[in-house]
Amino acid sequence: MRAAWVLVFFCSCAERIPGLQVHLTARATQAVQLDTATFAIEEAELIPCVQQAWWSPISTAYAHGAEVHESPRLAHAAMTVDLTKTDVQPLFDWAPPPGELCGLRLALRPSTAESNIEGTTVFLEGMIAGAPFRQLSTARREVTLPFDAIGPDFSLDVECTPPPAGTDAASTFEALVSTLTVKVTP
Amino acid sequence: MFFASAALACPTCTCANPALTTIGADRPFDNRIRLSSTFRAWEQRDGQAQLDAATLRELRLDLTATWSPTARWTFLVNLPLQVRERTDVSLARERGFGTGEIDVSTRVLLVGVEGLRPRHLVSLVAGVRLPTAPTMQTSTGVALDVDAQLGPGSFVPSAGLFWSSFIGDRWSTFVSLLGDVPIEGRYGLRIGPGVQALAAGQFQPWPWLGFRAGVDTRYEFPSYLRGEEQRRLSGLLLQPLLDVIIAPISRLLIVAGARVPLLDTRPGPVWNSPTFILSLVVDV
Repeated sequence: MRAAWVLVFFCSCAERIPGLQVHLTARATQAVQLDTATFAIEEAELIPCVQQAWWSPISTAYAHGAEVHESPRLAHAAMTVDLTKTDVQPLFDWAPPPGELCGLRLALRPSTAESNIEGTTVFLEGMIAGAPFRQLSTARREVTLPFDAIGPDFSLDVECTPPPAGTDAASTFEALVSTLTVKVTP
Repeated sequence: MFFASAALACPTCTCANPALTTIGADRPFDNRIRLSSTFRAWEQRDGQAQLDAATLRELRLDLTATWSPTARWTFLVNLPLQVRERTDVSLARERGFGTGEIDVSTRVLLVGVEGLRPRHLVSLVAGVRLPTAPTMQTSTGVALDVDAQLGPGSFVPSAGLFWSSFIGDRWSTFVSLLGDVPIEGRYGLRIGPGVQALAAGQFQPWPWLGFRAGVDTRYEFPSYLRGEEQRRLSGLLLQPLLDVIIAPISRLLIVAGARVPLLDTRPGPVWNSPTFILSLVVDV
């Protein structure tokens, strides 16, 4: 009995029960045969389904708090997708609020990662047919990839199929962006 | 002359005074020892829905002991046992259970030491909350959110004034004014200085039953988290209070009551539930 009281008074315990989660991964469907081949995602955002009652002319309003916090559906981080391998690469984990989601917005911008790809959106470097090859793109593009409505607690797998290198970095970048797709894994 | 009637001491009320007094409002006497256990339950919701909303719930048991070596001095120690739960916007839950932060304080009675039945008791109070609550971590070693911790992990010096007034056998009042200046605690959080005022009137229709009504207010200046000002929870929170005090036997008090938020000037968004209180006070 005395031991039980000692336990009550001096023990402490804690637990964390995970809530809703969305995992973002990326994968190249085929590996690029270069030493380095990357593209940079600087921002990713889950897009909630629009849920506005048809009879209500008033849109959703948010209070203007004194402190500004980032949306829990927004990932603002330097994410780099390695195109030289076809492995699934984890990019980000969200802990979003309840509510159905209908899309993913990706902001492709010059990378802020502290590495040799810093400042580039697409970085290709290696040897092609025995000749050195290098293409760097600093283009910016926002891509929205819709998917069927689903509540949180799933994985989003972004897939891209690296195209043959274009004549210049800009055309390579455009071709790469056009292959982006998203797959939902509950 | 020859058949004196029985004299009944009443330690739970102020001696020689029928008012039922809780700790702080009472009159100390030599070697008076009081023990109390106070159970409290509350909930707070803050933040914006879909953005950073969080809900805090707490069940808390404060175990308090006071000792008055003389009629002037009283020493107090309070140990809280807490269960706290925080639910964030993603419905992730963090729970912590353990001993919270120990309060020690001293009270010196300035007015009301002398005399059999003083009408006023005025005391100075000074104390400090100690950072005794451990930093709560999950089994994987991840520390819980600062709001899920059982205390800010900082020294909180406080000082103030208590004033009890007794009007006849049935009426009494109690006023307290306390200020605290927390020092920076864990995670770089420094809770803003606060001023807490409580004013209550008590009516006892019978010697064993009292009703207390009043207001409990707290004004808190902005907190700082790693040097960044947090204004969200700074402001005034005024809560009317209503307590029932029962003395089933002479050495025991049972207090049950609630504080209901009525006026809130904190920018928030923040919402507090009523706080429910159940307390037992025993004179040893």
